[in-house]
Amino acid sequence: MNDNEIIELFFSRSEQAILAASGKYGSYCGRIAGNLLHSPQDREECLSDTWLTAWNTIPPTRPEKLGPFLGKITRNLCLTRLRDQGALKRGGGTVQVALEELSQCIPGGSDPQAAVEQRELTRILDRFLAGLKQEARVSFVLRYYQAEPVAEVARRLGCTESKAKTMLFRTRKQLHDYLEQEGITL
Amino acid sequence: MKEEKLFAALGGIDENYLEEAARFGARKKRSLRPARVLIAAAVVAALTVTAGAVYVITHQNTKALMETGPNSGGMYPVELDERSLSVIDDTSQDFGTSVTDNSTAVTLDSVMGFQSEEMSVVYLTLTVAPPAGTELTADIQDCGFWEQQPDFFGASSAGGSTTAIDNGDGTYSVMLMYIVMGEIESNRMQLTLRGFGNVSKEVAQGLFDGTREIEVPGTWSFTIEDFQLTEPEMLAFDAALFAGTGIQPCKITVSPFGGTVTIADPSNDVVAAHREELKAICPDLEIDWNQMTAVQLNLLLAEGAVFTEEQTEAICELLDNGTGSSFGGINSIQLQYPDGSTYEGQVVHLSTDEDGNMVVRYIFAAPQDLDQAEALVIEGIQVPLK
Repeated sequence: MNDNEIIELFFSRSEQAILAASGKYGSYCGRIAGNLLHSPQDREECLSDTWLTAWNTIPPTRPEKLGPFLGKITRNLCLTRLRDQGALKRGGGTVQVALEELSQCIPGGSDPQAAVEQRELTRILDRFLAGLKQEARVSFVLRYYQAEPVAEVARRLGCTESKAKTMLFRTRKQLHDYLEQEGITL
Repeated sequence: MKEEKLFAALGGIDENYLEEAARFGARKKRSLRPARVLIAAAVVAALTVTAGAVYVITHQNTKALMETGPNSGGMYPVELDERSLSVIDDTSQDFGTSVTDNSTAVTLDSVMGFQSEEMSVVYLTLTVAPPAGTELTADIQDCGFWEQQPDFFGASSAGGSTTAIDNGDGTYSVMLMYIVMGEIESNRMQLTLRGFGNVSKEVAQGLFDGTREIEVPGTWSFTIEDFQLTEPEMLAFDAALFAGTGIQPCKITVSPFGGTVTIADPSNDVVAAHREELKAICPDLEIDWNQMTAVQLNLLLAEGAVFTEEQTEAICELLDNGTGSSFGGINSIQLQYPDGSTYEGQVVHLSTDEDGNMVVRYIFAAPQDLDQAEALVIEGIQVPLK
């Protein structure tokens, strides 16, 4: 079943929509939840909430890309859950390490001077990603969006972990410089 | 926390990037390191100029052949029937200024390759007719065989390398080469064509991308010929591989089942000694021995220094384009001698080993007392050799 057909099922309020969506994107969303959440129970609940949120969101929303749309829901639900638990920094090995790595991208100044709205920051990140070579962009998204372990990033890129680490290291430095150039302090 | 804010902001990034990451991961799952593919592509391009039908063996394949020997499960050349490709689906993506190309015709002219349990090499020639007024760029990106898996992100494929030649009649001859780890299990492949042109206002702004899912009718029932390359033939192709990297000025003539390799620049005393050694190994090979220099490059190809991860990062920091997988960006490599003198060499391959260390392969065309060198200096970073 293609994405449009699944979306039409949502619009016609057919419960088959959830079955179809979970069948097609369950492994993708499950992977994101698995990377972010430590507890299997939390993961299961987030995944269930993903389909429920999709059910409540479509309609009126008509996603252009169903997979990424559902993945975003999963990710946001996971982050909300981690925040509620006060556990974002200790939510699990992968996400914790990913956060520590990301902290290297943030230009100096420990005191927030200019709070940047998240939306604006996202726009800046989009521009930054657009300027990257494809492999660098993909590795960055896999690591810091999906919170994939470096080993998985390497596997997906078809390279060694060392190369993946090196690529991420360079991209983080580029992001640091880019944010600095944009005058961003968080 | 500041990093949490950044992490959260990433949650809103363009969905195209998320889709790209998901698809990319699947595509690259079985591909070789880019450097090797690029090197192989260079060989394809070089060989195609002078040979109507060619078989290409990488250095690694050659080793595999040598190790396995005839009829023991090694690499076999295989030939596939000529078939026509048909477009069975259009899964075009639209990124930024890209527009979808719906009218590019693709015809399969020939396909051949090698296959073993560990690795398959497939070489295809296609004729591509893009929309009128467009010009295909030299590389066609994201080509690969793939098979559809039960879940959405399970599709896998192999990376490909391409060369496109303008036929002058609106069509392009495109040569594709795939090196696949393992056997090719699919009869479907996906091409993403990229070109420049003036077919629409979007194209006028930049480039177009069109992704085609195409199918070779039937299955990949390889016809394994009763044929095995001899060691000299392997060496000839191996030489062609190195020569194809542009390390030495060279002229290559290769016939399908045997080879003649003529390489210019015979002024190399060091390889002259190896030449005799090699000649003893493969006396039947048709090689202009007086002209031969580069075939022995593998004898001079030092397996190289092994760097720690810290050194790897330090080196990559110095490079503009190096990513740890190619030698792009490394411009300077030298042998350093106890008296302080240095000798310039050339990096031919940069990769990482199974332990995650960077491995540099390099060539010194005429090393002076190689054994006496005390250090390797890459981009100013000194790595002791002893």
